Amino acid sequence: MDGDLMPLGLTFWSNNGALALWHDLSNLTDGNIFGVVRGSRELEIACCKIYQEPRSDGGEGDISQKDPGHDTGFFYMKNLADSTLRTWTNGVFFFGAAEPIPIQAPSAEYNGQWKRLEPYFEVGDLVPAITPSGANAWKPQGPIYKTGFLQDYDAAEPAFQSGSFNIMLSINTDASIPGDWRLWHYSPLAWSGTPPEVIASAAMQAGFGAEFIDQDAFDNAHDAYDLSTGDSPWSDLDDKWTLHARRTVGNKVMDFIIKCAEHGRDLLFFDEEGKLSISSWTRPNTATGFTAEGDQILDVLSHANTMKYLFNIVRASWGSAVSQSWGVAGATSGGPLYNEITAEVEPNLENRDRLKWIHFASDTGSALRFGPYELKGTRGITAYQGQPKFTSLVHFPFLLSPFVNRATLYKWSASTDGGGMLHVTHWLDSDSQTRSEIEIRQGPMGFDTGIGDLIEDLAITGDGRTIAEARIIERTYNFDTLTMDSTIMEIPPNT
Amino acid sequence: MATTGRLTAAQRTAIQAGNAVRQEWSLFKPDNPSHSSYTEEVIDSGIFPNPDDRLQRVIRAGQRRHVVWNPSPQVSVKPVAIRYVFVCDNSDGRLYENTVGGFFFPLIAHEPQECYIRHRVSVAIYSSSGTTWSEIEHMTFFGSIISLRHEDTGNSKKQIVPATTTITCEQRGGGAAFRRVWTEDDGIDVAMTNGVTADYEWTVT
Repeated sequence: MDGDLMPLGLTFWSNNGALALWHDLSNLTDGNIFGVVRGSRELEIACCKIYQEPRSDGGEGDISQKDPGHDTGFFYMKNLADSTLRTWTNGVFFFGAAEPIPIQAPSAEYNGQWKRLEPYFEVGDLVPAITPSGANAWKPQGPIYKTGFLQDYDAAEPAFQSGSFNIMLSINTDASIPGDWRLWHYSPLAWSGTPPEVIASAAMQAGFGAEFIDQDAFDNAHDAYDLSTGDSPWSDLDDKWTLHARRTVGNKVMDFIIKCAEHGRDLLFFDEEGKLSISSWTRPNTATGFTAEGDQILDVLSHANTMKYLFNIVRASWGSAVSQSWGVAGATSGGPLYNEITAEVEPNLENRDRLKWIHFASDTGSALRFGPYELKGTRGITAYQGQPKFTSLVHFPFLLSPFVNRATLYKWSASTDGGGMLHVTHWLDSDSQTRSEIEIRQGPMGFDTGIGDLIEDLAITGDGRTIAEARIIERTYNFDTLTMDSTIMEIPPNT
Repeated sequence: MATTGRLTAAQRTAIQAGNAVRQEWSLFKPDNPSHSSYTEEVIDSGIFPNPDDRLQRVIRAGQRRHVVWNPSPQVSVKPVAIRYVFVCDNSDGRLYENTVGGFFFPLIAHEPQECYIRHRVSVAIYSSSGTTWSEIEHMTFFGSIISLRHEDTGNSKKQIVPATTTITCEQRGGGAAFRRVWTEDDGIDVAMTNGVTADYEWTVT
C-alpha cells in the first residue's frame, strides 16, 4: 500500500466507510497470540490496530467517573462458564525485546515511572512519532504522546514476529476464578484518513445514508491528497497522511463533523440537493470569467475588506512527556530522554512549556502590518481523577502524520519525507492577509454556480477590482423571485 | 458571463435569453410500510409564464439557504440541516391529511412525515421542433416532510382568504443523523478469533 492514496471507491461507500475505521483485529489469530508471556497475567498480541486511550482501563471501576470506559477502548474477558464479564485488562503495552514500555500504569510495578499525558487527546490532535536511536531503536513510537491510536508497527507487517513490536496486554485475571475465558475488545468508533474520508465515514456510521452524500464530491476531494496524482499541497505520502479522530459519548455528531472539517481546507456544507457535500480546496467546481452583466448581477449588496479571516500566528500544543527516563525500572541507560527527541526528531517543536510541547509559527510580515492575530483556539474539558479539568488547546487545523514510513522513518518531518510542516507554511499563503467579502444578488444565471464553488476573475464591484479567486460561502435561493443572494469570500493571492 | 460553470451551454444560453424557468413540486408517498417504493403525486407542475394546462397549487415558493461550515480555519459555523418551507393553495382540501382522494390518502399506517417532497427547476429550450424543459439537475432538492400547517378558509380584512397549507420539509436523510448524540453503541465490540471460527479462548489456572 506504500505510495499512492487508495481511492475511497465502491467498497468504502457500500460499507458505510468502514475502511476508514481505526480498527483491525484480523491478524489476531491463534498463531499470533502469545498467551501467558509473563507470569499468568500478560498476553502478547500482534498485528492489530486498536483504539485504546492511554491510562484508561475502561469498563467497570475506571477511576474517571466522567468517562466510564466507552470513550477509551478496552479489552475484557468473558468467562465461558457463565458468559459474564469477569475482569478487565488494566494495561496495554508495546512489547519489545528488552522491556515493555507502558503507555499506562498497569500495576504498582510501574508506579512512579509514568506520568499522565496531558492534555487529553482531542479530535485531530497531533500524534508525532519518535525515533529513539542506538540501543533503544527497537522502541516503537507513540507512548510519549498521548494517543489512543495504537498500531502494531512491525516493520515486516503483516508478518508476526515474536517478541518484536507487538502489543501486550496485562490482564488482571482473577486467579480465584480459573477457567476458560474469551478475549474481547471494545473500541469507540475511531477513524484515520484524509479529512473527506473521515468525515464521510463518520457521517455514515452515525446513520447518514450513503445516498444522501455527494459521493463524487468526496471522492474528488479525497483524491486530491494523493501524492502522485493529487494536487493538494497536503498530498498523501505512504498512505498515512491522516486525520485521526474518535467520537466522544455525549457529543453531537455535527460538532464532531465540523471539528474534523477544521482540519482541512476543503469546504463542507449541505448542497443544493440537500446532500452532505464537500468542495475540494484545489479541485472545486469553477466558474471563470464572471461579469456583472453576463452573470445577471442585479445588485452588489455590499463589499468589504475584512480582517475576519486573518491569522498570522499559529500555536499548537499537544501531548506531553514524562519528565524522566521513561520505561520500566532497569530500562537501557541512555534511553530516549527529551533532549534526544527534541534535537533529532522534532526540530519544529520549539520548546516545551511544562508538560506540553509547543509548536509556534508566524508570518512576521503580516504581524507587523496588521498586528498579531492568532488562530482561534478551542477549550477542552477533560476529566482527571474524577474532577473536570479545563485545558486550553490551540486547534491545529491541518494534518500531520506520525507514520511517514513505518519501515525506516519513524519521524515527523518538515521536509519532503512527509510534509508535515507544509501544512503550516501553506496557510501563510492565504490567511495572513485581509480579504474582500462581497454580497451579491443574481438572477437565474446564479444557477450557474453553487455553494462552495470557486469563481475566477470576479470583476463586479464599482472600484474596478478584478478578484482572481473567490469562493461562494453562503447562498440563499429565493424561488418566488428566482433570485439568489451570495456571500463571496476572496482567496487572497499568494505573496 | 462565466465561460464555465454548472449549467450546460444550452441552459446558459437559454437563461441569458430570458427563457422561461419552471419549478415543479411533487409529493412521494410510500406504497408500503417498508418504504420500498413510492408513488408520486404532482402538487404543482410548474410556475412559468404562459401557463397551459398545468396544475398550479404553490402560491409561495419559499427559499433555501446553504452555508459553508468552515470557510476559514478562523471562522466556522454550526451545521444546520437545510429546511424548505413553501405554501400551497388548499382550497380543494386535498392537502388535508384525511381528505378522501387527497394527496395523503390513503396512507395506510403512514403519516405525512413519511412522505418526501421533490422540488425541480428547469429552463425552457426553444427549437424548431418545439419547447423542451432542461432540468437544472444540481438544484433538484429532496426534502422529508416535517410538518403541515393548515390555515382554513376565513376572513381577513373583510376579504375571503382561501385555505392554505404550509409544508415544511428538511433535507432527506441528514438532519436526524447530524443532530444525534454519540452513544456507547457507536463502537466496535469484537471477540478475538482463532482464525477459523471459534473465539480465542484462554485458560486461567
